[in-house]
Amino acid sequence: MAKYTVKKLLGIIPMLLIITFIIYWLLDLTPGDPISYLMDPEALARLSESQVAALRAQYGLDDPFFIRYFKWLGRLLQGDFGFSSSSGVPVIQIMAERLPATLELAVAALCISTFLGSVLGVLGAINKGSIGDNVLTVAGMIGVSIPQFFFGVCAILIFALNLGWLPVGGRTDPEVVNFAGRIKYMIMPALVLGISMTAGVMRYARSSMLDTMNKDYIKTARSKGLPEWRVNLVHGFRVSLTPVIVLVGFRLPTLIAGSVVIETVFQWPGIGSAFNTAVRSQNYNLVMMLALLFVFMTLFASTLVDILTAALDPRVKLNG
Amino acid sequence: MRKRKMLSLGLALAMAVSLAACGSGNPAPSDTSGAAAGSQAESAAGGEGASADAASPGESGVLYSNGGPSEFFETPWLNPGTYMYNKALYGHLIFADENLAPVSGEGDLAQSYEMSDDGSTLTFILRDGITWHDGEPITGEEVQWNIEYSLKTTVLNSVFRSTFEALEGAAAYVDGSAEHISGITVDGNTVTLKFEKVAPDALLTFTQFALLPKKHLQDTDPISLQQAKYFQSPIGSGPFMVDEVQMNNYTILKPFEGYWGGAPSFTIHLNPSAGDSDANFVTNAKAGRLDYAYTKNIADVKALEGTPGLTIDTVNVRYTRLLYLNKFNKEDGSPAPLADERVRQAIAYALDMDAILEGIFEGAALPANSLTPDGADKVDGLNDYSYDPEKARTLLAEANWDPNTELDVVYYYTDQMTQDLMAIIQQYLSEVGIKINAHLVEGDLATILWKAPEDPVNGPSAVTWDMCYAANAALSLHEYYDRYATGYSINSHTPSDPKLDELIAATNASVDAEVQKKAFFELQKYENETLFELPLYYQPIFLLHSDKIESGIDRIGNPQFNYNWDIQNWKIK
Repeated sequence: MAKYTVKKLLGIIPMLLIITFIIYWLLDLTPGDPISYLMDPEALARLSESQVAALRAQYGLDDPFFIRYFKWLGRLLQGDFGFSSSSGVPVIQIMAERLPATLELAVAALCISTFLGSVLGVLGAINKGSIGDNVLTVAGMIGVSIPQFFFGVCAILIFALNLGWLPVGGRTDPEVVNFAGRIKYMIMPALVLGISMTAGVMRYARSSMLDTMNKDYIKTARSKGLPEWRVNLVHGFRVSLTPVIVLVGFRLPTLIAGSVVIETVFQWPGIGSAFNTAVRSQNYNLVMMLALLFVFMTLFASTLVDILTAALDPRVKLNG
Repeated sequence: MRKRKMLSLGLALAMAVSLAACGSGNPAPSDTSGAAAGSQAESAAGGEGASADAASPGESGVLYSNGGPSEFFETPWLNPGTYMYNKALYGHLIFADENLAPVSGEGDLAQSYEMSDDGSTLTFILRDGITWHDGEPITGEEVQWNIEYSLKTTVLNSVFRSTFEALEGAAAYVDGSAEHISGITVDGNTVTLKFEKVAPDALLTFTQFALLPKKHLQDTDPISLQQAKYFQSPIGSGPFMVDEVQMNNYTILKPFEGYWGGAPSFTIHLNPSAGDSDANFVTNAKAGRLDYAYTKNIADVKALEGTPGLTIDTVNVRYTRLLYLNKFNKEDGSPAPLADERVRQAIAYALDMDAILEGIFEGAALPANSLTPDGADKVDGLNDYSYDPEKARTLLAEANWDPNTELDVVYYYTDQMTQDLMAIIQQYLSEVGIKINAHLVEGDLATILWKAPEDPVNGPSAVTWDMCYAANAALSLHEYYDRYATGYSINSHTPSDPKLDELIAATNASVDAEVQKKAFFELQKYENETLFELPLYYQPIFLLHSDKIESGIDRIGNPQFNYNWDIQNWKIK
């Protein structure tokens, strides 16, 4: 098991290097540079050549591309993540401030979508062809089709503006002193994100359950006279969850990297909006560190999924 | 099997712990700079203007606004009033009224000031006992340091820079041959500025130029001022001070008890947003989380129409959208298509700006006939270039316009409104036989748009566009016109024109407001006749305020700049 894990983790390193190089290169190819974002174009045009050169030197933009990349990599290996070019704040501080908010939202949404998606999917499969199944299928299609921002705005309109049950946005307020006080801020974004992801999980779980229900060991279980609920839950549900876990495992890093829309709609101070701004402003240090994080999380999730799959599915052996 | 269960349990536990760690209450607020605490109570308590019966600070409520920082507080030296926090946190030497005219007599941080008749000397006498939010005294020497330091930064508003560069010895200081600007002298609370040449916006500058505490910034490289730690939680001298910063979440400003004009009786809660572009403007306003804010977006205003408790005032400001017209020869030596005045006039006649603005802005924007917005600063009788496609065709025929010529039009705004406008302009111009290719430009805009030619008289042009759709948000009228002077650093479009140079110089020849006004009138007539640029429309700002503000909000001015808004005396429910 340890050997398998180490081998997997070592395999991540070359992939990380290649991907970071590609991202750095693509960032370099985009028009302009951080200076042209940091300053008003007219103010920048008024600067003397020596001032512009000093600015470029300040941000390390006066070196050729390869030198800059390897300098960044060198600093990274020494544990120096650098500073945000727009604020001068250490990248590690920005990540420490923003990432928990995004993780909190992503994990909550993941739990909601996994629970709802699995249960509804399995119920749909068990009652295949029923009215309930058809309703869930249609609801799933609608869920997949509705853009998150629309769903979010509707939720704000109903629950915050009309009913006044929940705050319109933000993650916390000055009066809030503990996690419990912040739950009301999380309910809407987590539900919107979670429900919008539920449809995918539900359809996946339904197909998987239907597939499982046709297996020989299910027929065997039934022929042994086991109650139907036991056949469905213990023998069917557990095995049908395996592909769902794979899907869910891969969704966490995707959620973290792709929560820009929900964070914007709900004024959630997460990493998604920071990443978006950093890319537009060619904030190299921040983009690279966040990209590194996202890539690492994706690869890590892949490993985690392998382990969980093995734990849940008796047919998979941990000898990889 | 047991091993697998333990593994699953462990992973689940790890996830639960990480979730709990994410949600362990409010993250630690940013450091509000150690010196900020404690010492303010001993500072010039109450000041001269403090009212004896003022409510205790913060007791009467919370004012919600927007523009809160998402990663840093923007320096107040580039866009002095764009952000609410810059207006609330910093003091200025003198006050401007709601029309941005300097208020004579008593100032803000300056007890008094005096400008000599010839504009060569400006003297400030600072108030006694004024302090920064950390309780440290504000000194005359710091005024000198602010002017000198700001000149070495890259974030200085062009109006401020022009004023400071007009000081005696400024050039020597900037090129490094002098340690200080010789034209600034400090004697106790008296700061005297001597100008080498006329600085027409000197007084205006000091209504907007915020003083920053030397102690916290003197060791910061001026090139990276914006990246200083100070701008994570700045210390100013205005009526409010930073209380708590949760970047990209909320920022709380609390009353500064040592403010000379008296401490406010409420706190300010800032929601994060980028300048005048707040994606959550409507939502927050409807939810009662926006009591004072502005927008330029007419759609926001329409969405909030009829919302109980909210008032939206239209404020006419110096904000003009225009087409810069490149009149320099092309790089290959061929003449610029827009060099002929008749072609420029034809374009003006070809656009039905009334209909365009009605369609896009639902009447909220006004057609422009000059860069200068309507009002006392503009001469009467200018040609409005009312829609007349026949006249446009005639002018084009007189100018021997080649209908195969395609004008390259650039813009840098990414909003839908701009794209719609470009499409409409394209349609109108095609009807009179002018083809354009409008496209978005991104990247190094300083070079793409504003690179001036090496030879400002004969060109050729250093940029490739024929027309550039842009905006001028001017603090001073000089900001509108100085850029067309021969050799101006960002004049990428207008070749040397002795008459134009003479008219621009006349506007800068005196500090007397009346003399300046007459000079601008002449310049506006020439502008209107020759169309060295094509003004399109004036865009107002919409100022929202809620009925939570019980009293005090009597003066409505341009919310993008500083004026004496008396916020410390507002009463909030």
